[in-house]
Amino acid sequence: MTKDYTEFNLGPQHPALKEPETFRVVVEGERIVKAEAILGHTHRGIEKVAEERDYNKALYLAERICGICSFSHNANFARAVEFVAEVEVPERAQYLRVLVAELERLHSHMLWVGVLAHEIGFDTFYLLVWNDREVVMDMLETLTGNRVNYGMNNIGGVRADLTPKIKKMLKKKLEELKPRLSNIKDIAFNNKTIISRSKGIGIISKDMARKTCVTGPTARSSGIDWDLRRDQPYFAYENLDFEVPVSSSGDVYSKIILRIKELFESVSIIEQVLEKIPDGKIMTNVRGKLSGKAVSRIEAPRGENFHYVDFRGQKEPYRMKVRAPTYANVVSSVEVLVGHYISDIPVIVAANDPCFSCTDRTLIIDRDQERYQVLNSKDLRRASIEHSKEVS
Amino acid sequence: MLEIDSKLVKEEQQLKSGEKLILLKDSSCRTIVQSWIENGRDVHLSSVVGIDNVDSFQVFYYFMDRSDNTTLAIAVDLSTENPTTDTIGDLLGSTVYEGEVAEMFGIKFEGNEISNVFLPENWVGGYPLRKSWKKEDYFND
Repeated sequence: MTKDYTEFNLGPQHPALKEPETFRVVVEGERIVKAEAILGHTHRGIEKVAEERDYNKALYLAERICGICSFSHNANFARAVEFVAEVEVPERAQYLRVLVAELERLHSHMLWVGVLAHEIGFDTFYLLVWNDREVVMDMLETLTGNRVNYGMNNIGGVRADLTPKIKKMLKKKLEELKPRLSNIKDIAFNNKTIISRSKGIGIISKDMARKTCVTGPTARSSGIDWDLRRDQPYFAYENLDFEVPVSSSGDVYSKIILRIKELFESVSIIEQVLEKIPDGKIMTNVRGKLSGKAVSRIEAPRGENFHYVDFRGQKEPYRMKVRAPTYANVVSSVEVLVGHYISDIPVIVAANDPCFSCTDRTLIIDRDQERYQVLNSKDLRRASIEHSKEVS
Repeated sequence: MLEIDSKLVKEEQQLKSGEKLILLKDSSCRTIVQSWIENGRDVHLSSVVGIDNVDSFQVFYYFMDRSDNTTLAIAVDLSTENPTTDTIGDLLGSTVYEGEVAEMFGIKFEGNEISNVFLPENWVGGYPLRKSWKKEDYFND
C-alpha cells in the first residue's frame, strides 16, 4: 500500500479569521505528524515605528495592533506609560476602563463562538451569535463613538465619560443581551454536533500548558487557575466581585464552556461598574519627557497581554515591546495538532481563539508516487463539515 | 518566590511598575530557570525582550511564579562583538520569543535553532531593531 505524506500550508489567508498566518502541516494519511507555525505576515514594525513617536501618538499605534482587542493594547500601553510618568489615574477612569474592557471581552468571546460554530459547519449558530453580538457592538459604539478602534484611552485617563443617558442605554442593552446569552449557552452546552466535534479534541494538558506558558482561557481550560484581573488586579477590578471559570479537561469543548461562562461574568462585572462607578474627573494630564522602565500586563480576552516600555529622557520610547496573548498560545496550538485528523485542524486552530488566519491552500504530496494535489480552503472546510455530519 | 543566589547578581533595580529587576553578572539565566523548575516552582515566562544599548545588548526576561503570585524581571548584558546567551526555550515555551530577538537584534541563543519568526525566510535587511539600523542601508525605495 502506498504511503501518502501530505504537506500543506494552512494560510496565509483564512476563510474565517481575518488575519493572515500560516501553519505548515505534514500528515500521514489523515493523521497529522508534524506542524509548524509561520508567523509574521502582518508584522508592521510597530515597535520600531513607536521609537519615533511620542507617547501620545504611540498610544494610537498600540491600539492598531489588534482590531478585536484594540482596547486591551491601547489601555495596556497607557498603563505602562502611566507607571513611568508616576501619574495617578482617576478612579472614575479606572472604572470606565473596566467597562470597555469587559464589553470588549463580550464581543471577542461571542465572535469566537461564532467562528468556531462556522468551522464546525454549524452556520445557523454562527449567524445567531454574531447577530446577538451586535447588541454589544451597539453598546461600545454608544459609549466610545466607535465599533472597533475606540480611542478610549489617553495617557492619564480616558477620553469619553459615561453620561446618565448612556448609562440608561447600557442597562437596557444588558437586559436585552442576557436572554440571548442564555440561549447561546443552552445551544452550546447541549448541541450534539458541537459536543461531538469538540469533546476530547485538541487536548492541551496542564503540563503542556505550563511548559508552553499559555495564557488566558487557553490556560484556564487546561486547569491553570490564573486570571490577572483577580490575581494581580488592575484598573478597578479589586473592587468588583466575579468568578474565574476553570476547567481541567483542556479540550476544545472545555474552551467553549469556559468562554461562555466568562460571558456571564463579564455581564455581572459591567452591571457592578454601572452601579459602583464613582463621580469625579476622568483624566490626569501627563506632559513632558519621561525616564524609566515599566511593564504592564492585563487580562485581554485571549489572555495575558504584555507591554514593556523604556523611556530615556525623551517623549519617545527608547524601546517598546508587545507580546500579545496569541503569541504566547501559538506554540501549544501547533503541538496539539499532532495526532489529529486534517478535518480537526480548523476546529483546533480556532479553539485557542488565535488572532491570525490560515487555510488558503492545501498541497498534497505523495512522495512515493511523486504526485501532488492542491486543495483550497473550501475543500478543507468541506472536510470539517463532512466530519461533523459523520459524528452527529 | 523566584530566588536568585546573590553571588550571581550584578545589580538590583526596580521597574517603575514595581517589580524587582535583577541584572546578572553572567550572560545567561539558564541555570537559574532550571533550578526554579527543578524546585517545583510554577514558573510562567511572560516575554523575552531584546534591547540595544548601543555599547551592549541586553536580554530582558519577565517571569511570574504562580505558586505565590510573585513576579521577577531578569536581564543579562551581552557584548556587541559576540551577543550570545543560552536558550531557555526547552525549559519554558520561549523558542519563538528568543527567535524574534535573534532575528531583530542578531542575538544568538545557544541551543535554539529558531532564528526566524516574523521576518521572511529570505530576509536580507539586517537586524531592524538595532539602533544602528537604517532602512537606506538595505532598501533603495
